[in-house]
Amino acid sequence: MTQQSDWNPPLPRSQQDTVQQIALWGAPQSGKTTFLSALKIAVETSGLDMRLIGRQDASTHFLSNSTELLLYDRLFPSATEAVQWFTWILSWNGGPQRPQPTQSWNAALPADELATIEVLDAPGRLYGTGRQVPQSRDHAANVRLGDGGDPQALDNVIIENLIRCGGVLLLIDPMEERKSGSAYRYFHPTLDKLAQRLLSSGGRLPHKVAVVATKFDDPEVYSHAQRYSRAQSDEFNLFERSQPHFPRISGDHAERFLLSFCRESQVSRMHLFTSALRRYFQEDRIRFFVTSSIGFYVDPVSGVFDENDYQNTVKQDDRTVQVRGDINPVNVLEPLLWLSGWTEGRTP
Amino acid sequence: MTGQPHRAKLSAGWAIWGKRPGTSGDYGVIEFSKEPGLHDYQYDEIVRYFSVGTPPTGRDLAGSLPWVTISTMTVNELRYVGMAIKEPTADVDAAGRPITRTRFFCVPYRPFADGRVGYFTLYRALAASELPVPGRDQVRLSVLPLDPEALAEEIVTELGEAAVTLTAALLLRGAVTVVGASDATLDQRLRFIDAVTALLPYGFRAASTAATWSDSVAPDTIRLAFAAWPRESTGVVRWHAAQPPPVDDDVAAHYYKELRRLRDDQPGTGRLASIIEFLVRDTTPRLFDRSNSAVESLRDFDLPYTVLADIRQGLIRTAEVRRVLTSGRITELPSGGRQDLLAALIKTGDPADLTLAADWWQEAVIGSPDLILGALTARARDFLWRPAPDEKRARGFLRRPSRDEKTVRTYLEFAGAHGLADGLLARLILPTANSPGPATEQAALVRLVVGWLLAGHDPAPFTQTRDALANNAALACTVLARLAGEERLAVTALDWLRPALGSVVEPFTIALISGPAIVTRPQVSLLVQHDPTCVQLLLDAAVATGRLDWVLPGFAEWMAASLWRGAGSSASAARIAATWLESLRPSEASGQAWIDLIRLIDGTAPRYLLAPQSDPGRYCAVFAAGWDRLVGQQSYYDIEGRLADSLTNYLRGAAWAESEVQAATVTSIVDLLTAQGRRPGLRDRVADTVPGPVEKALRVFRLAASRLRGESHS
Repeated sequence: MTQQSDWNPPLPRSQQDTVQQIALWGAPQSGKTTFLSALKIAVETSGLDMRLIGRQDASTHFLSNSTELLLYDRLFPSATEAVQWFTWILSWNGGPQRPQPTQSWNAALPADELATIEVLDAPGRLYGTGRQVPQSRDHAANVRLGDGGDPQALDNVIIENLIRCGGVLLLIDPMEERKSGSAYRYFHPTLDKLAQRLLSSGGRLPHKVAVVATKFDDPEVYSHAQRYSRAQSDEFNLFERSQPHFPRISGDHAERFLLSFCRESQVSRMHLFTSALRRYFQEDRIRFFVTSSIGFYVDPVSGVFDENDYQNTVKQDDRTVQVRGDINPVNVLEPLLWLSGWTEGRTP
Repeated sequence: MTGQPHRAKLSAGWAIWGKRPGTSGDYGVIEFSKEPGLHDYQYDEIVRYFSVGTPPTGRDLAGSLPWVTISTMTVNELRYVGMAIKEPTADVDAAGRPITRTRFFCVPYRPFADGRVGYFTLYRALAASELPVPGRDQVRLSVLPLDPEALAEEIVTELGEAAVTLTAALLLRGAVTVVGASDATLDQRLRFIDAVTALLPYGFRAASTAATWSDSVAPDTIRLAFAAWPRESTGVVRWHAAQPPPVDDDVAAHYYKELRRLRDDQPGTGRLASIIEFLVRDTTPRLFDRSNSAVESLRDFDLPYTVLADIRQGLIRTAEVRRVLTSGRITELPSGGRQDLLAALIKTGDPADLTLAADWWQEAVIGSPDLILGALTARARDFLWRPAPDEKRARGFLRRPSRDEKTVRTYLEFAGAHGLADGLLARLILPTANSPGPATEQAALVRLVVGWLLAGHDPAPFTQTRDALANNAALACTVLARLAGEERLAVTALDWLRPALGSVVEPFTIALISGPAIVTRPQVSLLVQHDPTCVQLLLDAAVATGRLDWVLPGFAEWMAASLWRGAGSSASAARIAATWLESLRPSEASGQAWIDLIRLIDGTAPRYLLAPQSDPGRYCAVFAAGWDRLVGQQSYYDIEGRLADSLTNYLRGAAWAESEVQAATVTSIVDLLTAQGRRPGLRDRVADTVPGPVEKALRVFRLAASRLRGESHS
């Protein structure tokens, strides 16, 4: 074997990887940033031969910092105040062998498959009608920003990003939905704009949509899961088979579970939400997930999920909420993998 | 600084942007001022547009709050400077997450600029302002102006002049991120931003955006920001680290170079303070998309010296020279430098700049004005040499002045007003090797000497011009030839030129004004020595004044002598001169006789001998007298033989005897030439030109008899 003088760097994007542009869509406080913050831990604890790597300094820093924040500081990320743009590389083992291995130590390794994931995380308010804009701007002061910038530029960023994206992570906080019906409120205005741009010739939107119901670990949600479980046939199993036997709502039941949870609310518009979803997107490109970014508390000594002591958050004296124990993400990685087209042992 | 600095009185509109405690909504405007008439959603748009990220959770991190963001906007066409102060609060939202609060302020640019307010002092004043103000009134502020001396000291001793200078220059190219400043305090960052902006014309504060921190995770709209990592597509400056200057040939490099030049010139903080002081005064709002104006502005700091240095290196920027003069800053220069600037303006400026030059003449021109004269000559020659737009107009400019030629007169007038007209005209006349159109230039110069100098001025003091003409006899003769028919001007010109060009002036005096003297062969010979063209011009002048008779004898004698030699420069000149005769068409019989004699000397056919004559008697008399004169003057050449040969050769083929008129002319001439027994063989030689012995004898006899009887032949 001829020894090459230079170590062979990772192949450039165009040769080997796939770019998955994913939009993060959801109402304020629906858990978007916490979901992203738990992503690295979700990858690390997935049992898959998979890595999540930042493509730029800021993206790498977010991964490191949010892991540090959740695991060690036991803090939740701040509410998003400005648009954040992350680019990560999701790589996993299983591709064909490298055609010309360059170092003896990696000579036998198969090539990694790569998917570049670009995620735009924006304040949830930008997805709604939000501000109280007068009927006509005629009576408003004429404002020009900076060197002539457009004040509505941020709105455009959201829509342009959605148009570019192949996948959408559509996050719903079930608690907030039940309280205020926020999911549909922050869904339909943006959906209208998207449809205006893409559906003028008819048809449905081409995106894959992962509807992610967050905060599964919240006592209200979990207790409903218990009730839901009891209402199902014997085949339904709320708990994972392997230790520590975390609760998990399977994909088959996720939508029904969410609908049933919201049915108990007078203000929820979940039926409108799901109806619009299917009206504008293709049925086979929609999937529901029930997730928890921080997961359930597990006693470090027993190492087993305890139905009587599972809450993983704790309220401090200063009214802030902290993480109680380890981070055990539930269904955090799965929506991303589904959007990426990943299946075990197969290229997306 | 002397006395208490004047505090700027400012009013600021404001908004509080945040979240109400315990709520689950997103960030937005909570309260806002009535003035300047913005809606809450507009404040929201402004704050979000200039947002630089989400603050990190946790304290004492590089990006921990507070953050200060500086922005700009126009509201109903009025410019404002915005400042957002984002701070932590003790409150949490419904999810238990800490809430931040942003106090946003907007201050009208004009009073801000008039007060020379800096960002740091503005921040101090705003940070101390309690919001909301009761009644939603504006915040009233009293802010100290920038202190250039203190800022200069701070730049040199604390902030790092290299980094501040580099950042200022790079900002003109685009956005800049300052990295490696994690340990810098908010005050230090704001002071750095203030210092950087102070090294640009103050007017850029109408468009400057800056932030003490950006999280770099999304493109922002801020031009200068501190961050942990370089923001996308931004220039990078490392805090307190050595770094290379801008290398491209663009506005950043030019500005940096100018700043360095000013500082290398005088490294002390006093100079830096002066630069800041100068830039601070420049408050006209500017935009970064016209950032080149900054270089020009900075050059204004010591513009007279900058311009002078450029000029001495051979680079003249006329607009800048003009600016130094119009602003009166030429007086900042020593007298030698002033003269250099004035000369540069004249050399490259427009005729209109001569007014400006005249205004500053007294202050600028001391001692020898050679430099100015050189500039005037160069610029006047530019116009003189400017090519005609096309061939047709180029031909036209041989006859009439072009607009550029008229411009040269403006320069002459200007020079005249400062005692330099003689020098300028003389320099213009001096021959140059690289004139693009010598004929056009010559024609223009003649018009200038005749039309501008002789017709409009007393030429007596123009001795340099006269000397220049003495070295360019062809031009002098062209001038004189041009004066044919204008006796008054001709007298003036001849009197003026005589001391330097006597040998040229004399034959022209005969041709132009005086008689009955005659041009002599030596005079023609001297003219030829100056320039053969002079003889042609003399003949032209003589034709125009009707004095050809006074010129042609000497010319004929010169021709005879020159042609006799057969070779050499004189002979060549004579052969060329012979061709000029082709264009000469004298109307008088005397002139015609001389032309024919010259042609006979040259061996060519006479033009008038056998042609119908208006005054045949006069023709014959002058012809015969001229023949005698030529032979008499040129006794050492066989002119007699040459003339006789040429005449008989011509008559041999001319059948002159068949025309009574022609025969009479020939016979008359022969009679005159052979009178008193002279030239005994000539009669026979002429008779021999008639074909056939019997007829010849008969005809000659008849003619002779007819002449003797005074009868006409029938």
